[in-house]
Order: sequence, then structure tokens, then C-alpha cells
Amino acid sequence: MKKIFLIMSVLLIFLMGCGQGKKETTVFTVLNGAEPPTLDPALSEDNVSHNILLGLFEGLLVYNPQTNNGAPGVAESWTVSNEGKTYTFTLRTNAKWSDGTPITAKTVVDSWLRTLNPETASPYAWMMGMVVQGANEYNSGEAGADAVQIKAIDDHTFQMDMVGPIPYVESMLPHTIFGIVPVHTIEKFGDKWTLPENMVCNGPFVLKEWEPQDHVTVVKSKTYWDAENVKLDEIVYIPSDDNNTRLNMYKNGEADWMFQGMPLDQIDVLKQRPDYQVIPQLATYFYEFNHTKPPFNDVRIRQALSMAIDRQTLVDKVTRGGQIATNEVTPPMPGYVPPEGNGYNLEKAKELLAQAGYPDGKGFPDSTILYNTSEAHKIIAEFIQQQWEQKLGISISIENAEWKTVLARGKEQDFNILRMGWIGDYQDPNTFLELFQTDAGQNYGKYSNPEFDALIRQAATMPGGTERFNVLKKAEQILIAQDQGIAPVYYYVNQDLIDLTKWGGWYTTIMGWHPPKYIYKK
Amino acid sequence: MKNKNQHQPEHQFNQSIKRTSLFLDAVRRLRKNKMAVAGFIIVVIYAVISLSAPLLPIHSYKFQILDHRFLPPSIKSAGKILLERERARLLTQAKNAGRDTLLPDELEKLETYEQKLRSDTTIKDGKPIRTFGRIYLLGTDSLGRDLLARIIYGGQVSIAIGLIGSITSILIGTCIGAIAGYMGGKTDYLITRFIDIMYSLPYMMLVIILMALFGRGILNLFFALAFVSWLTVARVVRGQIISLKNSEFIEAARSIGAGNLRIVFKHLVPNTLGIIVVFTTLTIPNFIMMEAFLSFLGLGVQAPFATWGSLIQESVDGMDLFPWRLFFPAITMVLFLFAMNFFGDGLRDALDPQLKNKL
Repeated sequence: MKKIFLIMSVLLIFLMGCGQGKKETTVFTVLNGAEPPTLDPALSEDNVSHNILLGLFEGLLVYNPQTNNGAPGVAESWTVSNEGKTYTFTLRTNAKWSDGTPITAKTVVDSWLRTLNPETASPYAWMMGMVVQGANEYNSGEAGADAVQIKAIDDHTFQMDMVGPIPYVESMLPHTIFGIVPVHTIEKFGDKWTLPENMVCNGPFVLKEWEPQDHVTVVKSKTYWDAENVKLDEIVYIPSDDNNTRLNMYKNGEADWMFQGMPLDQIDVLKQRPDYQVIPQLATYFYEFNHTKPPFNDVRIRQALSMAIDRQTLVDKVTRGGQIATNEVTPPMPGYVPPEGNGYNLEKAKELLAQAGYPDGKGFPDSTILYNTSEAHKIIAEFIQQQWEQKLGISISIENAEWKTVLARGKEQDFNILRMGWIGDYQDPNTFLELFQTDAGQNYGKYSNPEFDALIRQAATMPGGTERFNVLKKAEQILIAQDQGIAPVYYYVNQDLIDLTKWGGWYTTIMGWHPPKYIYKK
Repeated sequence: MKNKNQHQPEHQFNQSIKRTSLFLDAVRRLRKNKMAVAGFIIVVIYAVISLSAPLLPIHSYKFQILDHRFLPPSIKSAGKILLERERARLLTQAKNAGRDTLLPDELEKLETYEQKLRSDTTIKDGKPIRTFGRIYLLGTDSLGRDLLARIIYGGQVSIAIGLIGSITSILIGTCIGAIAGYMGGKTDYLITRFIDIMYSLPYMMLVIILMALFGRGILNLFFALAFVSWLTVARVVRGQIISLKNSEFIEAARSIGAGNLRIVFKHLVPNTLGIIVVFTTLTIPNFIMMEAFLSFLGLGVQAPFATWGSLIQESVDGMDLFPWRLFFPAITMVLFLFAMNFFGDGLRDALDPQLKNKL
């Protein structure tokens, strides 16, 4: 009896101890999908590192958690002048780094110049080049840093001149590429500045631990200007990339948010769950044709192949995640409805194929669909392969390779048909259409139409509004309906698992960014 | 004069010797080993089924009927399964609403659904075929393809990779190992150093480089796998031959004028057969596994072709929901590997030259 009493009392004390410790910190665990390749905002080009950086750094503008448009960040307010070509930002006086160093307009200038510096080799510098006057020249080494039209007018006023009246610039500025970096520690530590012991941040969170292949932990920053409105104490990012493992971890309660990558076989069951969040994404899944080699340099072949894909069946019965079948490349956006592309039309497809010299697919050259290794891409490729074989009599083989190999082969036009996807970097049709300009880096199929190029260039000089959208619409009509430069397949959806009855401040958005600053426990 | 009727004493010099070959002897001993015989029979059944796949009354391994995806194994037709599913769904709906039976309009809905299922057709090779009565004994996969057909056709590829791969690698390895061991001296030195160098290179990387050099395709896959996997065999055979080459029976052979080739392939190699056979049975599963690994890297057999390895790999994601997709290919593969092992074990015992003329 005495013993039992003793054990009970020990347990009781132990339990009380635990209860007290837990009450104080709110930890949010994220299944992030992969190991972040970098935590340097200038070098980040993937959504895995972007997710973490959203908490660590704050640019001039930040993402509004509900719309993902630009909202005041380090910049308190801004004015537009010179026919929409000049932006003048007023910076917060209380913005500072986690080591106490204040952030001034000069910090912003130095950060942006570092990103543009050819030696930094930032993979996304082109995006800054699209906006800032002189940025492209400096980035490509044609001009010096003084060519870049950004300047610090005083300690808290920053001004930039743009290449044109870019109407969507405010939805671009929250992107990490426009981020502000601690230039003073970068000078001191060089490449090692992102190590937890060296890293200083200006966002709502600071880096605490980075165990590669295990976790990245960030904790609430004490020096952040809006620290009192940050509700989470700690965020743990787990880099596991096996979708089944991740799903099981989430189901076991080991994580609070599973960021995309649902196993395809589980979709039907996941859709029944109340914590399964799905929303159309600003992203398109498409097949690129190699325009440099026959037979795909023939528009009739491209149209025939595109018209023979039953996209509705594909999204209803194969991908099943709520994806939206599309014949167009640009997702609909406020004010922009993409012009209609070539839909599923078997008769027409057969006719076009016959006209091109391959009646019933006879004599069609050996061709291959190239995709990067993934269960979902494979099953989609198998479906499309079967469609073409059954309906057009064309037998096309499919081949998978690792992502980097696919990109390398894409750049050398070493493919017939290539699977690609594109996630819009900002909310404007331009983010999709500019990919297919003759000299664009991501134009792997080497689609080229001078008329299309001219329209895209024309739109870049126009102020926002219906007229500009009409020019872009005309460009898309040429790219898709007329030339069938690519075969769009569907619009992606964001699929996330998060219990919204437990967590607030997390909204489903078209861009899929969820700034952790606003997330709180209900 | 000797008495001719006198019974002669038995001794080793006046026995009649029944001529027997290594092979006949082996078969006799093999037949006594029940497990080995069972293994052999299973392997033969697998071989026959795989080879006659185009003649068997099974569905196409690549034809997709999307309405039939994820059907469980059953002897009932696909249409009936779908119909039962719909009925069950309506019944649960009714139960949730507090009813025990279906309402007339629900029954009507069910009837129209049945009509639709019965009249559904799909185009295959230009001809419409009815989909209602299709039976999938082992269920279907995520694109509505028959799993049985995929396992059988997959078996073709898997077994071929296992057999051809290990036979080629054994042939190369035995020849090179035997030559190195028997010749000794400089030849031996050069060959062993070459093998050492090959060993130090990452094995999978070599396969991948070879595949990249010679292009993709099943034949190249065989070749690439065999080309890098003879090393171990060569080492083992070389060691065996070195230990045997100074034994009395080789001296005897040499003293009656046997040539080098004869000594190596008639006397030395048969004495190492036991080890070679065991090694073969071990490498066949190895090759099958390796192919699965290469498929994963995108260097194996390309879809819509399947192998056991790729079927298993495809099914892992949904194994709790559709266990049959994992279970059947896995059991097929395991059974084959077991049979192969028992058969190999039996062969080793049977081929042991030390047991000549014994049980």
C-alpha cells in the first residue's frame, strides 16, 4: 500500500511538471517535403526553402495571408510616380536585424545589388531584371552596379525605377528574390552566413537549429518590430520526402501541416477528411513539343496530339485531386479569361494527322515522352500514351529521368515531348506567357513566333488594364489555339493537410504561400 | 589346375563398372531431393506460363479501362462488383437517414446504373467491346489494367533478366577466373588487378554509365548488368582452381597427356560447379532486385511494360487501401525466388563430383 502511494505521488509530481512545461510554448510542425537546398534568399528557387524563408526574412512587402498580394513589410507605405514607373518606399524606423543592427534604405540597396551581382549567381535574378531598370545589364555583366536604378534617398526612403509601368509589381515584391539580407554578416562570414550560429534575420522568426535531413527549427524573434502579434513560439520543418511516410506522420499527430505531395493512391480517402484543404493553384501542367525536329515542328501534328487527350477523364479518374482540365496555359485571373484553346476533338485530330501524312498513325516516327521520375507523372504519361495509341494509332514510348537530367536535356532540346509544369511567380498572365518567348531560358521546346514575341514585348510597356490584357490574350491565342506551341493538360491544385479547427491564420490561397507570422493556435 | 567352379572372392578389381556421366549421376541424385524437385517444377511452371503468355486467355497488360481501376480480386465480373458497390453506398446512405430499405427512386437509380453498366462499351483496337463482363481474378491497378496479365507479362521480363543476366555473368566470370587461376604468373596478376580495379568502381554507377552509353532497352540492360557482375564469380572460381590445380587428379590427367584446355574445362571447372551453381541461384534474385532498383531510377524497363519489381514499387503508396496490388506481385516473386533457391541447393548437392557414384 505504501509503495503504491509512493509511485502515485511520484507520478503525480511528474505529470504536474510536464503540464507546466508544455503550457508555455506553441510549436507548429511542418512536413516540408524536402531538405531546403539553401536558406539564402538570393539563391532560393524552390517552394521548400521559400516556405522557411517566409518566416525568417521580411522584404519591403510581404504576402497578405489571405490574398497573397503584397502588403506592407519593412516598407510602411509607398507612393507611385512617373506614370507608374517609379516607386518610393518609406521604411519602418523600428525594423532591425536580430543582432540589433537597424535596417536602412542602404541595406535594401546593398541586398538587391548583391542578388544582382553576377558573382552571386542567383537563379532568379532574371525576375528582378524584369522589373528594375538596369538590373538585367548589371546581372549579365554588361554594365556596372551603378547602372541599377535603385537608390537610398535618406535612411528610411528607398526609390526604384522600373523598366515600365508594371501593374503586377506589388504581387512580385514579396518574393524572396526581392528580400533584404544582412549584408554586414555576409561580409563577415561569407558563404557560412546561413549557419545557425551566424545567421541573423529580420523576420518574425530566427533560425535556431538546422540539422540536415532531420529538421530546421526556427523560434520567435525578440527583435521583430511586430513581435507582439506573432503567436507561434517555434516552428519545426521536417524534410522527409517520402509521401507515404509523411502522411503517416501527419496521421499520427507528429506534424500539424503536411505541405503538398499527397500520395496519388490515397487521394480518394484523403478527400473525405475534414482537414484536407484543396484549392486551385496558379500553376499549369503541360506537355512541351520539340519544335526543332520533325514531326513536332508541324502544327497539324501538335494540334492532333493535343486534341486527342481527353483531359476531363484524366482529372476525374486519374489524378482525382480536384485538378481542373484545361486547353489553355494561363489560369483565369481577376480581369483575365484566357482565350479558348483546342479542346478534345477526335475527328478533327484524326483528320489533321492524316493531312500531315500519317493516316491512322501509320509511319509515325518513334517518339518519346520524357518526364521526371514521380508516380503521378508516370501514371499521367501512361494514360496519355494509351490515349494516343488507342485513338490515333500512334505508339509513343515513355521515359523517365531524374529532375536535373530532365532540365539538362530540355535545355539541349534532347527530347520529343517533355512534361513540364509552371507555378506562377506573381498574379499576372505574363508569368506564364513570357516563358514561350523565342529566347526565354525556360522555352525548352524552342517555340518561336515573332508575332507572339512582339505582343509580349508590347504588353510589357503598357499600364495595367483591359487593353493590356487584350494584348496578352491575343498572344495566348497565337501560342495555344493557333500554333499549339504546347499542350496544356490541367491547372494544379494546392493540396494540404492541416486541421483548421485547431490552427487559425492559415488560409487557402491561389499562390499557396502561408506566412507563418499569422498562424496561431485556436 | 584351378577349380573353375570355385566361388571367386569379391574385391574392388573384379566389379563390373557401370558407366555413368556427371550429368546422369546428378539427375539421379537430384530426383531423390524432394524440395529440389518441387522447386524445379515451380520454376518450369513459371517459365511455361511466361513464355505462353500471348496464347493464354488473359486481358492485355496495357489496356486501360478507367472505370475499372482499383477493383479487388474476384471471380465476379467487374460490372457486378461496381453494381454491388453502388447498392452498398445507397444502403449506407439510407441507413444514415434512418431507413432500412431503399426508396423506389433509389431503386430506379440503381436500375438505370445497371443498364448503363451493361451497355457500356470501350474501343479496343478499333472495335467496341463490352466492359460489363470483364473478370479480374487478381484485381486491377490504378489505371484499370488487369493485374494478372501484368504479373504474367512482368514475369517474362523479370525471369529473363534474372536468367540471362546471371548466366552471362557466370559464363564470363568462370572463363576468366579459370584462366587466371590455372595460368598463374603474369596473366593471373593482370587479370586479378583488373578485377580489383573494376571492384573499386561503384557498381551501380557502372551500370548507369553503360546504359547511358549504349542507350536504353531491355537487351542493353541485360548486357550492362552482366558486364559488371561477373567479378565475384571470377574471383571465387580463380581461388577454387588454384587450390585444385596441384591435386593428384590433375597431375594424373597431365601425365596421360591432357592439354591445358581439357584440364581446365573437363577437370577443373566441373569441380567448381557446385559453387558456381549456388552462386547462380543467389544472383538470380539479385538481378531481379537490381532491375527493380534501376526501374526506380528510371533506367529499368519503361512503362507500360512491367516487372515484378516495378509492380511492387508502384503499389507501395496505396498498400493499406489496395493490398492486393502489393500482395500478388510480391507472393509471385517470393515463390519464384524460393523455388529457385531450393532447386539450386539440390543442384549443388547433385553436381558435387566428390559424391560421384554415391547417393
